[in-house]
Amino acid sequence: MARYILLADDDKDDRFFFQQAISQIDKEARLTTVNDGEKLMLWFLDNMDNLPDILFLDLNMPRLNGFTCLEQIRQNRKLSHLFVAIYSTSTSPQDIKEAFDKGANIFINKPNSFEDLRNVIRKVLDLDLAEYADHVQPDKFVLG
Amino acid sequence: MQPKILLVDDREDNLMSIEAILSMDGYRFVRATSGRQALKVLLQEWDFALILMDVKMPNLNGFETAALIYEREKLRQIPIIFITAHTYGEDQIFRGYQTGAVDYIYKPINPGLLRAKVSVFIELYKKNATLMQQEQKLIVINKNLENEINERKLSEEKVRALNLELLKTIDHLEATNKELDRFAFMASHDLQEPLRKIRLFSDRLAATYNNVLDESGKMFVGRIQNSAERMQALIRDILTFSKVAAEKKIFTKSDLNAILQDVLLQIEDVAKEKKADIIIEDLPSLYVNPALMQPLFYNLLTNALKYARKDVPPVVRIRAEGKIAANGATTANYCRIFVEDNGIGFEQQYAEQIFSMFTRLHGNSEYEGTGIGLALCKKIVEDHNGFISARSKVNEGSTFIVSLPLDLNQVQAIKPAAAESAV
Repeated sequence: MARYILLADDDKDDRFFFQQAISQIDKEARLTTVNDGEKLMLWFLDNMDNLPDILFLDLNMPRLNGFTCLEQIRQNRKLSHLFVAIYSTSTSPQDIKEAFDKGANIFINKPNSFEDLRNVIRKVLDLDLAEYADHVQPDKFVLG
Repeated sequence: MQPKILLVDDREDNLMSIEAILSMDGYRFVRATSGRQALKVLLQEWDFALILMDVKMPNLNGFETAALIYEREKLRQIPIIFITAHTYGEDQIFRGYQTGAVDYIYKPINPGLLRAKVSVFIELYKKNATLMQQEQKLIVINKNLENEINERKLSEEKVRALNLELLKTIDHLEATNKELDRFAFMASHDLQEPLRKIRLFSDRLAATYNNVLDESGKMFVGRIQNSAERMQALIRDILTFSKVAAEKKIFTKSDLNAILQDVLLQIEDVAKEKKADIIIEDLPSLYVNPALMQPLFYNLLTNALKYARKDVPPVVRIRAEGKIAANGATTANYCRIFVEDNGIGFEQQYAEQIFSMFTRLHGNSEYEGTGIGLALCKKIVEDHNGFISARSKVNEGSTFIVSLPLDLNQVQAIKPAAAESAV
């Protein structure tokens, strides 16, 4: 079944590469992008009945950053089970720990090459999301 | 010192007889044959233990002389024994006492009594003198003590002021250091972003327009990619360096064998590709920050693999030498860890330089590198109050020697006594 993917990232280039990568991996996949955290939360308000399979969430965004979004998502009854993949340039252990503690499902470091980007997105799309349904897995948390 | 007695009598024979009586007792005598002469003597000398004075003398009698003597402050301490033939009435005797006289001796003189009385006063005088001497000494000692205390207070204040200044300087330095580290971290972090884009776009360019680009176009794109990659490596290494600098100085006893095993896993691919033989002899457990030992040995091992001779598969050997009192300046015990390779080596003259930031002995086209690895190693080892040094021969191989203190206190000491390398 074709995945429905939501990407929240304020970086225009990264959205562009992401789109390109997705379209090369899975022609069926649907992708929606939003440009910052605030727009993400507004988007959810309008689409509560049409939620994505996976949210790729950038951390460093204007207005509402990724951590705050993550918190709000986990506190929302309807969104609390959404699969959230942090998608950030950060590799800092503090950020990784905070993301884990706040309930993200996986943590992806934005790759340096297009090839790596394709690979890591493919990995995520191939994940058995049910495995992550109720609890995060510390040993498989960081990807790529 | 012989006690001095002043004898005052207008009759020489009296003087002589008194002297004769007292001669065996070891006194020194000064004679005066009148009150006036006695006063004259006392102008020059006042260190008499006792004055023996006849009362009945022409012109100035004994009492009058005594009164004049005692007018002078300095002389008031000298007791006077009056010698008199008269049996005075109570009022006369009282007059004598008033002038300060202490005793009387009646004529004819009883020699035993005279000697006894004189000796009592002399004894008193001697004791007094000793007491006074001691007092003087005490005063001097007191003064010295006071001076010493003052000096000490002054120097204490100076030390305190200096200390305060030092503390301020240290605070300032630490703050500056932290700022620098933060700056390096932020700068390298933010620098990575545009670079990542350059890499991604050139990737896309190369992949998507491969058919359109001619040979030189492809070469240009290749060079862009190459430069971007190199800059990224550089930034990554600077980032590692500033992370190491920010690393807390917490040391736990750690098994170096386990750490080396981890490092081996990290370099597994390269080692296989180069057909390297990496021999790790039994290593000790040392007080180290394990998070810092990883990059240390990672850098030393990757260097050993990188600078292998083209036609000779690398053989790297890691071994430890136990308690060695290294470096004449210190008695502390160090463990020396040797990382030996059979690679291309270098001229020994560069053995110190290679540990400086951005120092490289080879161009990038020969061997890739950022010139940060060994600077990082040095920083890590020095954070453990240890030393790092290198021995090498061109085309034979290099040996890097890491000396780490065995004693936790030595590891934790605020700063290394000497940051020179011990070879």
